[in-house]
Amino acid sequence: MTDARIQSDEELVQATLSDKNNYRYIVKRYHDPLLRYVLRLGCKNEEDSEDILQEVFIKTYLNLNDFDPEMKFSSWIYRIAHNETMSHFRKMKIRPQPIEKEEDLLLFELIPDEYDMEKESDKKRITEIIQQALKAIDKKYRDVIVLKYLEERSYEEISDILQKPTGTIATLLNRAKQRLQVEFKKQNIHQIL
Amino acid sequence: MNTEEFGKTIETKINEEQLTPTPRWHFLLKNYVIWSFALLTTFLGSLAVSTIIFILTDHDWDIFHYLDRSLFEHIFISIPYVWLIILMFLVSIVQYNVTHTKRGYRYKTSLVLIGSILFSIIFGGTLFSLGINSEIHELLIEQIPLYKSAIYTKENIWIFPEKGLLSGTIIAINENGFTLLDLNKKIWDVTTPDDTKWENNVILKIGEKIKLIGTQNNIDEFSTFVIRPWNKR
Repeated sequence: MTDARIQSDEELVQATLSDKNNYRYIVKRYHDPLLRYVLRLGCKNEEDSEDILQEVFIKTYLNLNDFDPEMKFSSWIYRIAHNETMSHFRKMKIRPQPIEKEEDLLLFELIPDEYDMEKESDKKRITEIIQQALKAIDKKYRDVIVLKYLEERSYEEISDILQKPTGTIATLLNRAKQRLQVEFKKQNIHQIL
Repeated sequence: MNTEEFGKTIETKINEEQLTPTPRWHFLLKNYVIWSFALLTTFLGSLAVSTIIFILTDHDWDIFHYLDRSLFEHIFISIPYVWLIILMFLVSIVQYNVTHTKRGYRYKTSLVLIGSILFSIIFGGTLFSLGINSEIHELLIEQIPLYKSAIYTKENIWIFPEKGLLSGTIIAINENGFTLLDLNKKIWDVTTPDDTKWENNVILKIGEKIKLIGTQNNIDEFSTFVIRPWNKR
């Protein structure tokens, strides 16, 4: 077994292929971020999220030889988590739930627009409005918003996770921002801000 | 479940079910199969393009007035729709395959489609210049009746002696002209006046397949003023 602290993801993959016991370091490294990501994708139920994560880590383990070192390991495992979560929604015939954690919603101040969350006094109201807006926009726009502003991923990483060209990601993100602004306006956010 | 407990659950599952990573060759093979299929489909697309070029270049665009139609109507009827549909189908299969390769998703759909069409045109043009297309097309016409009825080709045009269009194979040569066995296996006595135009170095010999523009004089007599070889090339 090796010291995971000094190893990159890619080195850990190689180490796991030589000794399966090293896989625990990958699990340890990615459990929390992936759990947060699955919840952000709209899986409200903690138990379901754990089940999804189990599937994600087992699939990742089984497909370790398919990992392409030209992309980041984190992008690859996030892709598996994304696909597994979407497949869970389809299987259970449920719709993704809106993001609820206030700290996540507050990250939306990163969206460059004319609104300034800092000026707002009633953050609870803003949170509700953002929740409504996110609920109203299409899932494909929510996916890029989550990855860009909550997971803070680069365009290239989002491209690798969602398996879409970077140009398409940029377009989706622009449209997502426009849709959000339309939803904000619909809910008179400009009166609050 | 905390991270430690979760890690143990995963470890237990891997050990209990004796799970091992799928071998690398499995993924390589899958990727090669997808790429090979994409290449094969592109090659078939090139054959389609080559046949389209053959049909278009071999077509007689100047005889529309003998068929009592406008040039526009003639063009509209003569477009090889079947091959265009086949080409579009093959190109979309290529696109589907490329996007399902390991890094295929990085390419824009429009880019893959345009690339595939361009490649088919270039490679199809090369095949056309090598003359591969005519055999495919003629073989399909002979062997598949459905193909013959779906494609508007010279076989559908040069069978109207009453309109001045006749074709067939020379079976005998005489002083005033020759005897022709037409596409419907009917025998014609063809006269060739002195001012008859012999196009594209057509040779008068037994067994030669030709196209004739002229006038029907009798039930089995035809006077020609233009003779063309059956194939333009």
